[in-house]
Amino acid sequence: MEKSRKRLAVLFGGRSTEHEISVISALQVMEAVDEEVLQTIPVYVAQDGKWYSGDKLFEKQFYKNLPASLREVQEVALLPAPGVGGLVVLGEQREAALAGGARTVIEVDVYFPCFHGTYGEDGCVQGLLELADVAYTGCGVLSSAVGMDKYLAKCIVEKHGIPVLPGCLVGRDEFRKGVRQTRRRVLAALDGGFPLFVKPCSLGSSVGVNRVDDEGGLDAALLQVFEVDLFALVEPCISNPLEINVSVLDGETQRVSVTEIPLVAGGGVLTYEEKYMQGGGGRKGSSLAEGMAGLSRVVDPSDLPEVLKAKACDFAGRVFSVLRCGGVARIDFICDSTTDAIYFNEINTLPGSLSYYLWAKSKPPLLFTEMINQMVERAEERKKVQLELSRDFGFRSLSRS
Amino acid sequence: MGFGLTAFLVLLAGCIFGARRLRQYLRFLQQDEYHNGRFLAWVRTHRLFDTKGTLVGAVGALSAGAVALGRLQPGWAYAGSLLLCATLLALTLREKDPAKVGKIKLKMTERAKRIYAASLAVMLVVLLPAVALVLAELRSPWRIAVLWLVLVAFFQATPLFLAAGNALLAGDEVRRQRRFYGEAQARLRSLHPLVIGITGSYGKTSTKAILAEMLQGSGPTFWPRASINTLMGIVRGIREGLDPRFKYAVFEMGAYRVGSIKALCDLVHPQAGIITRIGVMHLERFGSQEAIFRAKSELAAAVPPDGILVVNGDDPLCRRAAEENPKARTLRYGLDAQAGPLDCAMTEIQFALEGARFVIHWQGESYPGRTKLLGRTALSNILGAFTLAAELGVDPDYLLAVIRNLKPQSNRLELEKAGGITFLHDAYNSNPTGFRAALEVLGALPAKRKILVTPGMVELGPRQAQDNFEIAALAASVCDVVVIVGPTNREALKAGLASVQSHVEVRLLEDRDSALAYIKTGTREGDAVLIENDLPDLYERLPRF
Repeated sequence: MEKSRKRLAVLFGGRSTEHEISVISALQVMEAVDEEVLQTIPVYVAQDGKWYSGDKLFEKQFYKNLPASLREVQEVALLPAPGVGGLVVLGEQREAALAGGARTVIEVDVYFPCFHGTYGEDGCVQGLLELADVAYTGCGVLSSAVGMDKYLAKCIVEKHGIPVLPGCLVGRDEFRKGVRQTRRRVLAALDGGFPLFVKPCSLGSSVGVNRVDDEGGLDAALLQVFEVDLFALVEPCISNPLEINVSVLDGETQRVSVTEIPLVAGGGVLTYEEKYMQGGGGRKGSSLAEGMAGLSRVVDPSDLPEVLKAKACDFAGRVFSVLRCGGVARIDFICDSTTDAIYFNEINTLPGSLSYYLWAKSKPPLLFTEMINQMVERAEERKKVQLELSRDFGFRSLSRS
Repeated sequence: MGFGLTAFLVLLAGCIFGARRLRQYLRFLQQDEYHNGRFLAWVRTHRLFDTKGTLVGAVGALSAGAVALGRLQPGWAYAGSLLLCATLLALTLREKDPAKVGKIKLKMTERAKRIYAASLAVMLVVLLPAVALVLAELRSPWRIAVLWLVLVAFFQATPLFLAAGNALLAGDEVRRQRRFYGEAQARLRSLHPLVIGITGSYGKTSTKAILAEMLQGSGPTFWPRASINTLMGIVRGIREGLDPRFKYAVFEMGAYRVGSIKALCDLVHPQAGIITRIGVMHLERFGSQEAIFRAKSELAAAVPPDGILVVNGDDPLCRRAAEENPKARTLRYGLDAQAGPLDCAMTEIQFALEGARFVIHWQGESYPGRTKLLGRTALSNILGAFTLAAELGVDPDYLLAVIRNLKPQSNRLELEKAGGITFLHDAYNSNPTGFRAALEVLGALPAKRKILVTPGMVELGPRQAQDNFEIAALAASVCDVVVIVGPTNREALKAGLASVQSHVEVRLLEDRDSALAYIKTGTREGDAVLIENDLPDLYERLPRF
């Protein structure tokens, strides 16, 4: 019986400002896992980057008692070498375990990255999983990395005929060398008009996102971004913006979810607090524990014209394909509600709560459990396809001489 | 109930009380940089002797004495002593933890811990033979009375125990410090970041933080956090935090007496310095303004002739320090040009709910800017940091961006809106300049009623009454209501308020609690309330032991 179940390692936490949100998403995933088919192995990556595994990781209480609770779990590692077959337990024989001597291995069939932000959603962990030659869910290295960079994603998407707002990329070095020159270049590139939106180029949460109304404000907002990111993206600010999000799921045939409009108090920028820390007025009893799923929003809004919904869904599916995504992604659009124009804004290759709340209301509805099953299947298929590629390794020039 | 047990309990309670009290004194010893002479002198002049424990001990001795004389039933000696033990323990529990309260809290550093342990040992070593003597030599019932008297002497001697513990460790401490000092010096020499020293009667901590933030734009900047400004604090900061990636190192230099800044400069050798203001803070400690001037001038003297000296041009004493210590580059910054020419000036200052707007004039160009910080004091600190950072070559536009992003510090003219009322929290101020700056902001804010809640300013030496009088006269022209808290400066403030024609409503409140109650119930929507000077601090300034 035990043997017929596949072992699914859910990886979460990580060195990211969205560490906590990742824990919440992972707890939601692990609760939804179909236990008849899958056996869950939780793998928590602490904020210092060390990996841990153990049954205590299923409990919320564990995270409240950090770092003391780390004693109740064991440190593990995924080695960047094929053929290990799972996670190596780093016990007292840490050195020996890493060197390949006496070691315990927790066997894993499929890895499920459930990180948000740096090192987990941006291709880093995906790279390690590739090196280890294992099956994993979601996007690969390239689409994760491009998805994390708002500017590059826009450039590629635009190339494929999907409208985007103009954007100007600013590097920290350029800014530090000359604030005034940088500002002039940005204003010229964006045709000069305030208000503008300034955001970090590669961070997922709303940290460092600001709307600015004057030159001094632009400088200050750029400076704020450069505390957390090496690149900033400046975009024009639409006067009556409406955010429309759609989720896309990889499968034999791609599926697109219903749309949602996240609600923002006051109509400004969604702050980190609004995004994750507050329950919001729309939903009673939402809390941090619900993460992205707990945010106030309207799913499948009835007052949004069908044409717009269809457009968003069509664009979303195309973005997903163009960026060669896998698993589940959420694609965010900005809609100018005066002109009904829709612009691609950003893609989340590992969306908060994995967007399950959108799939539950899609037609026909897709339950979180089924969604996970499908992602796992796709991961295994992808691995199989990869193995079909012929890879000629080995020495040729050296062996001849 | 036997004598032995009673004696044991009395001793135990006494020791617990004494141990706790030792911590209280330790806080002041630390503030005196572990200097026994200064510490004991301070205790003497402020009459910081035990009264509570002594009173309990005296009652114990009297009641036991009454028993001995046959005036009371023998049982009283025991029962009374137990009751008094309980009182002593209750007093111990009520004493606030010096590591948690106070403007300058006790920092339980390794050194403080060592001194504390040594003092405890001294305490026990002295106490135990004394007690043994009492037990051996005296017959019941006098011995309980004498035991209590021993405790009284013991409580009174607590500062001496601390001084003894400190003295015992002195040799070891000197060796240890010399080693640490050497390590810090070697590290600075091998890494040689550009060192900047900041001193002043006030504003140095804020200026340090702002300057460090500004210099980050040009290179990684090292700066000991909070208000670390003593020699050993900085030595420790360097040993623990300075590493090769840092291009700049910014140190705040506290003047505790003439010579302390020189000692700091001998360690760090600043190539640039800022003097924010030479005021009258700690006048009591220094004795005269001239002594304060000499202490702060030590930084100006330590900057090498080819270095950069930045001084507050609004302050005549800062100007004098610069004139007496000419450098290759001397820069004066200021908010008004009355005291003389300025190299970097700030004009067109406007205060509003969202912060301040201003224009900085630097090297022939004008830079309009904004900040969330309020008050001329904060703007002066900002300008001082701007002047040095700009002189070091950081882009002025970058500096303006830093200034715009600065976050207000709690209780330093920090604005808070609650229930339609605007509060200006300015707890960390007890100087005329800061007070004036706060009143100016209060005057600029839109409000139905402008309310000032203050106990006045303290630690100003002989000028205290006059300074409070003058500030009250100014407040009368700005405020609709002035709430005077506590008796300390009541007369001077009242007189000042009455000295000018105004419709200001004056309220006299006894203590901080009633002031808090007034703030809660006496204010209404549309009011702006300035809470000036640290209210609890005033009561704590002379702790009652």
